[in-house]
Amino acid sequence: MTGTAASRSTLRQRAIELFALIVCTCLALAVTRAEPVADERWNVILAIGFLLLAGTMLANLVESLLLPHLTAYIVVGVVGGPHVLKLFDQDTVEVLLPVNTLAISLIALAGGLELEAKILVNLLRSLFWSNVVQTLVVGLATAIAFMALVPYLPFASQLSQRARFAVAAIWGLLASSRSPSATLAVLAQTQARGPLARWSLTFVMSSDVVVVIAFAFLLVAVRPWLIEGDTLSIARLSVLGREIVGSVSLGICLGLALIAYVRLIGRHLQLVLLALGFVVTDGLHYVQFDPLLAFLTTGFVVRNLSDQGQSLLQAVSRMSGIVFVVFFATAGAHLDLPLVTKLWPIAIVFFGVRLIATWVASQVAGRAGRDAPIIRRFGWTSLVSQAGLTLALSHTIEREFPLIAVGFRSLVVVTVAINEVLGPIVFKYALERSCETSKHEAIRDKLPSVV
Amino acid sequence: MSPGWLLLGLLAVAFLGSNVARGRGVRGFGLPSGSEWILSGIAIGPQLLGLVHLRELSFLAPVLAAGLGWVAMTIGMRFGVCLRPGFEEEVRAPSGAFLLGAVLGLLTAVGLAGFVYAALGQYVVLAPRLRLGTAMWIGCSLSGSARQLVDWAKERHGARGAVTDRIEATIGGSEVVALAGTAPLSVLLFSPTMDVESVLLRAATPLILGLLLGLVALWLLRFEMRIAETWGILLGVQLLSAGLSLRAGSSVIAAGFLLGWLLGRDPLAGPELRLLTRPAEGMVLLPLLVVAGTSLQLSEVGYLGWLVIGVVCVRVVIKLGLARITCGHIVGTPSAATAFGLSLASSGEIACLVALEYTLSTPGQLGQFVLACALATSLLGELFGAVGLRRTLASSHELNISGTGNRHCTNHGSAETTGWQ
Repeated sequence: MTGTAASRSTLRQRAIELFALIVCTCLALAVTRAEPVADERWNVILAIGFLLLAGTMLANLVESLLLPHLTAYIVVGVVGGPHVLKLFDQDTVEVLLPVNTLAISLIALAGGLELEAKILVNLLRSLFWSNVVQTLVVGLATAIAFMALVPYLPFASQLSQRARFAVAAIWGLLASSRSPSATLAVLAQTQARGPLARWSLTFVMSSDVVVVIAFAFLLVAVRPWLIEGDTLSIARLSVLGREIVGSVSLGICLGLALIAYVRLIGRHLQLVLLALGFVVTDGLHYVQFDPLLAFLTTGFVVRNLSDQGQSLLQAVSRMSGIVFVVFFATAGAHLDLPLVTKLWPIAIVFFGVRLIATWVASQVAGRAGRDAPIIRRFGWTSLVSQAGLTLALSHTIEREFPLIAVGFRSLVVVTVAINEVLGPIVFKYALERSCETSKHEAIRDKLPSVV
Repeated sequence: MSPGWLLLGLLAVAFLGSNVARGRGVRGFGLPSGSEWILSGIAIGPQLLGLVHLRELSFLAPVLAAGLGWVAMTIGMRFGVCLRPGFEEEVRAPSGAFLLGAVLGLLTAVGLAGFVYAALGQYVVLAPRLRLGTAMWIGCSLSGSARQLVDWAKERHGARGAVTDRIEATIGGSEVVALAGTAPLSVLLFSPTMDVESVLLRAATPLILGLLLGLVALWLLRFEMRIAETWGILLGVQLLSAGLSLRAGSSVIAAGFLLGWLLGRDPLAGPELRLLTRPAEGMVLLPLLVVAGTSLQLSEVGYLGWLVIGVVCVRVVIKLGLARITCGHIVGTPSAATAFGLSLASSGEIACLVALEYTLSTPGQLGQFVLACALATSLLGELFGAVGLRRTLASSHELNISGTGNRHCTNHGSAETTGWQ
């Protein structure tokens, strides 16, 4: 096919996708407007169907604009959700949240499967410096910005000076958290392979472990500053220790079990992943272990103690292709647009400060860790995104410190929204500039079934 | 049982299902109509062990509704296509036998509905609309025969030939009444208003949704060859059609079936999609059969239990009568009429799924009554359906004499060459 004919064909395909998207949206609008909600339960199916179909179509459309699929998924969620077209309401969005459980387990598992011990050892110096410098510089910069902006933050301006410092410290650490899901989604779409992709994934995964542990310590430390009469409790630290050791131990056991399954049976991995995502995660929550850490360990064990890692990773990637659409679209639908319009000027300032701090930290850490030039140049781009982990941590803040709950969470939601939308765009651009992306994808006539 | 354990159990069934069931039914292993799955559902349900209760199943109602739509879509994709043993070769179903099957299905539905309508009047006081709707739903759900029986005969006995194809087409044709008939009936039963315009619009909803979304999917799949995106589109259109049908108070099965039918008609995408979705069918179908068994609560059926027995008997009589009339056209040997009638009197997955849809929408005595009728015909049909079909095919000399059949199937349904091949 000549270049002109190919581009005409692509143009025709995009036109059909746009038309199909409009038809589906109009159809959904017509039925939902004409029919009142009789039974809330059925709305879940409608919501997932719309998000999946519209997300897939819009993702193809934005691909032409060199944007990541993730952006399309979020946009579909925002547009179809409770604030714009209102195809489904806030209650339905809440019901959809269990999809996150599955997505997070897949993300952690895939993350672990990508971590090769040999590469980890090679990157140890870089990871160490990046973690230290990024956490300190980004944390400090955003905490200082928070203190400077306190007069514009109603929930913080009423606090005592000590409490303000405590909230600023929490805010700083939250700003150091990244989004493994966004990183993995962009890597899955672009099929990027190379030093930048490898470093980004390894760093984001390791940084999440660091942030989760540091966050638990910080909460214990700042508690007396935020709650009158509360004291520093060592017992809380022992709970944290038990959680970490337990999660890792269980992750190792799961990993060994998965190795045995893949080696002995090796079929219907999607069903096994569903069971892991929904049922095992429920069990982990019940015994108060951290699913993220447990599944990360599981993936790491499978990758490094067997040769089954690649087949499991393939199964995870195929499944996550669909799960990510719903996961990010639900995140988009969950966005409180009125709140975003109210808080966006402050959130933009925080975004800017975090972005600059991330870049500066990346340069410093790159020198200290003797990173490759490509990582020094583009490594920071994978650190812009924020999503599920940051929101999950802010939930903990909300639960632990009701005094600042509503205001703090609103600010987190709006800031994360900006990072979530712009982060993947920057990262995808960097991957393309570094020539690590690939066009190869499984097609129907090569692979008959995903099951 | 907690929802987590319930989900794990269904996933385990899906796992087993994907291993033992390929194509339209349980092949190679187990009973011809897959009644063991219904029985295991009854065993763990409130009837016997009480491990699962109806309130726990209601938690999974959206998943079940989506599953019903998915199975209906895969059936629609294969509608009008006969699959040869090993399921690699597809042939068009003989149109005469196919149409005859549809007429037989319609006649069975009308006969059964008439009986149930008259009998319900004797037992319970119901609004005329509900009484008529329920009677027609039962007629509709039990109108077809167990198509997986033919798969079983091909798989277990290596059945192959014109009569096998004609019987498969006849049974396939009879399914259309159950699959498409639920669209107008759901409106009759579940619609809050009854003005003509609204009823017509609601009855047409599955048709509009199925066809429109089917066209959208076809446009997209013509260009989209990537696996992940193909699944995204397929699952998306199916869930959207199911969600919109439920929102409009219409049948999720009818919408799914029409959607699948349209996708299956495409000469390019149809065969590919059948191949793509085949392994996933057993995964969804068998958990649904287990749930159908689990949902049964005979205590709620109460005195309508006698009517269940009546429905089963009347259905067998109707099928035997229709077989006597049509045996010459389909089998060619009029002496096999009784055996052919018994094979037509079997009932399978579609009856259970259509009844389950009613039970999900209408819990209580009527829902349980409809479900009990479907499960009873399926379980009883297991006793005589397979025997009847085997005798019918033996009389036409279309069974593999060695009897080894094609039991050794690969994961994607391709058969190792055995026996007659």
